[in-house]
Amino acid sequence: MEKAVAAVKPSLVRIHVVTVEYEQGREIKRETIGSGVIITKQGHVITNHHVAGRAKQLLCTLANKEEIEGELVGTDPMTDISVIKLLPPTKRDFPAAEFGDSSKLKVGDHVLAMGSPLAFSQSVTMGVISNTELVMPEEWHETLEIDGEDVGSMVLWIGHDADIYGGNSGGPLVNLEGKIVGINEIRMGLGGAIPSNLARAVADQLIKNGKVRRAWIGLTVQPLLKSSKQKAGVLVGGVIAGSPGEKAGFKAGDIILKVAGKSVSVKYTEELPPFNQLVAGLPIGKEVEVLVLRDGKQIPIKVVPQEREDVEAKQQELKEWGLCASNVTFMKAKELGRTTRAGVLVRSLREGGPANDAKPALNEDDVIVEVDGKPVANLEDLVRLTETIVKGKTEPTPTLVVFERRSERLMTVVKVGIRELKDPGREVSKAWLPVGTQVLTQDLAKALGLEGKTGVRVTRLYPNFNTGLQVGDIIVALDGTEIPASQPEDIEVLPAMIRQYPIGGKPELTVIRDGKEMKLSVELAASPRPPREMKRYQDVNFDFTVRDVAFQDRIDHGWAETEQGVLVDSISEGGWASLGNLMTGDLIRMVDGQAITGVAEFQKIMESVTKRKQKSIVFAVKRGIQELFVELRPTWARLATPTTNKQKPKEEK
Amino acid sequence: MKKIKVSVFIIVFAIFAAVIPSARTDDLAQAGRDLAAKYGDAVVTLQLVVKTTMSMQGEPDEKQESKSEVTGAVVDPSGLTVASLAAIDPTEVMSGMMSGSFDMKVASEITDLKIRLADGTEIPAKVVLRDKDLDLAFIRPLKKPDKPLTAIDMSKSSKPNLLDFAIMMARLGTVANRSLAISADRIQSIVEKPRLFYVPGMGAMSSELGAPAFAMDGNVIGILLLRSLPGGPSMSGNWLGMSSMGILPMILPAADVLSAAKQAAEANDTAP
Repeated sequence: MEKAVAAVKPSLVRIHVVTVEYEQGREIKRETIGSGVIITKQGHVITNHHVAGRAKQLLCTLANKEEIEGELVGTDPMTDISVIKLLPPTKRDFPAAEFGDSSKLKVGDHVLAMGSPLAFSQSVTMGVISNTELVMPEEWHETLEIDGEDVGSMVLWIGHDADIYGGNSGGPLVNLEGKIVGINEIRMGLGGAIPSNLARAVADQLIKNGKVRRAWIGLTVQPLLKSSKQKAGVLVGGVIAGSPGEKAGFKAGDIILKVAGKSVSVKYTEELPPFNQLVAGLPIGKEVEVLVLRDGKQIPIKVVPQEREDVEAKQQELKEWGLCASNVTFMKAKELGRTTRAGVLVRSLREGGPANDAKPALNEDDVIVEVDGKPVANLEDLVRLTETIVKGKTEPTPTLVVFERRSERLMTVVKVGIRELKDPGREVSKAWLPVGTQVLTQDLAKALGLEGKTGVRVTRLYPNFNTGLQVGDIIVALDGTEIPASQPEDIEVLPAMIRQYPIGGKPELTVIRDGKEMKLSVELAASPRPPREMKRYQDVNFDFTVRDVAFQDRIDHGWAETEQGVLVDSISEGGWASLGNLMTGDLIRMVDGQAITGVAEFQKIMESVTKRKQKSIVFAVKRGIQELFVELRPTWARLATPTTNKQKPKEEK
Repeated sequence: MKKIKVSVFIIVFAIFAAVIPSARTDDLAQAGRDLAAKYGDAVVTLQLVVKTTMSMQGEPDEKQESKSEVTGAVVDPSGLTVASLAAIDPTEVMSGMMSGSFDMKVASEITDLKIRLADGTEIPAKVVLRDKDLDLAFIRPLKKPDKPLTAIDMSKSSKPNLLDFAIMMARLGTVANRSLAISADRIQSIVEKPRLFYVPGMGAMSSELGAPAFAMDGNVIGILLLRSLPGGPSMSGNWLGMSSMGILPMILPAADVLSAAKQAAEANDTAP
């Protein structure tokens, strides 16, 4: 076992992925951790599609804890396999693990699950093979669907009881000879790994072609019916209209006996994936003979498989429309009952965005077919038309849109363009007594020998305000009017009375200090501006926002006036700030050793960092009572053009 | 047989209950109808898109956008509209509810705002002034309206006594085609500290926040807003309901609204 671990551990990779998802009409970055294993000395890493398939950025940690950027080579949702390539600063060889033969696995064999469970560094667990042909039980009425693809239609999982958790995805299942026999993918009580023979074949194609090409004939197949007297064959449940299968003359009820001369049989669910793999491997565009049994007669059918298309098309956010959209795939067109694929499919909408605000509003699964009287054949058309519509406009442009909703052809007006309010409205400014107080409750008054008195007790003095008041003072009257506060709920009574005065007013307070009553004239200040009104800077490259420190922040955190900096107000997942572990609420005190006094100064520095495409930037931050350094390492190469403040988009991602 | 007797009793009681206050009810109904005719158009729907951002323990934000509609009252022909700050931007209430138990930061941002008039005209607008203390938000059209809008005269106000009627006008939601809804509630309580508020009956539900309240004489009493204790509501409430949770709809007197409206009218457009 030690040898097995030693053989594979150097090849293990912990993958920190910034992935992109499309939800609520927006492109949203997310961060996730998965596992992988190096399979070529050039640095190809096999992992799961659900780990890396939608990656925007990949950071790989090797077994020696070295961090290296990676790039996606290719991905295959149907088998949930992706291949990424390590991008070392200088070219070098990597320790590659070897594949074993998954078909030789037997129930009871010992295996090791390797990877990064729960995002830990490279770890190993051990178990035995529990099942060599694991499928989702029919009774579950569930399938593992990724990007619209039914993974179980192609994959017979290797079931094992080695502990795997979130983070193990994409990591290798290893036999005691130190060979990869599976790629861990799911946990359904037992762990489930994609057999290495299938994973390897897919990875080879991804490395060679960047994609997996599969043949498709458009038949829905299922195991033979239990009542069938037929001993072998595959039952055709349906034929998709417009598919090669329909053109070739297949019919529902046909029983397929041979495919390209090879006998086939599916009596049980477990036999479906191998059959699907066989069909997927047929030559694309070349005639193939399929022998079927129909009405007791064997009929040879010649079919020309075509390349299988993804069930779901890639999405794109169209900010000017407030939606995410994609082209219409063949299968989606069928699902929507359309005879054409022309148009753009609405996948999700932003609440209150232009498309959602139209009357009638666009909905998910609507297909935009015409904009401003011009036909829209695909996403490219819509993007081009949008550019024309918004060019030179400062306000959203009412645009006539024709769309299809199932069998209806509807028309609406969408105000295409970006308009987002950024001004939250100012908080009204009122007079304010700059001290903290507590209510002089009846019990407290009695205990202090002030029975019958009402008012408040001064509990703290705020810096920079010289009121003449002292902690412990009891304020009992304002300009001769008693302060009717005697219960904790009356905490607002004095502030409300104060707010009736003008800012700068000088009311006379009746104060009891050390048992003696005295009069004190106090100049009222303006209520401090709330945090939401502080000056802000949003850095769209690093994906975070800072603001000036508000009075309330100093009170909440106990920061003295000498404590300078900018406060991190928000951080977007997947951005460089987030990847560098900057946190909301951090006080950035210094940037690269230079003290920061406010947002204006910080903005200048960040713009300079962007202009110079600085490789790393170090913030000295205060987090709670701790002080620490946070290092951000931008990857400028991934940005076509770094966004300067002048180009700053109005919308956040 | 027994069942019939009970039914008869209920019918008799219902008739009795309906006849006794009929004269006053007619006055109330007429007052309500008159107010609807005079000020109905000044009661508008505010259509908002609010982006709420939540962050737990300093982690990256979770963002959510949502649309909502609330009632607003136009208080100036220029389109200056008053609404409940808690209704249009519930962050403060949410922050209060989530404070203490764990480190959660909740912030919200109004990303789109329109004043929807009774005739369906939508006027893009913005919040120009907030008063968290009074739960007031003032909204102003981005561009001057083509013609002056029907506005409630806040300078002529009435001060109700206990158990006087307060007639409130609000806009229903899309399910009712944003129709005007009028309700009448008696003033159950007059709160005098820390400042003057009128508490209508519990019929004034949160859906009416921002509704102008009028006296039987046709003059405005104030605006129905949400009063909350500093630091947000306490969740240790009991059966007494909202007031024990530290929140309660109350009518802010027109004079206070008017005073804040002056600042709103002067508020410049400079973003912070």
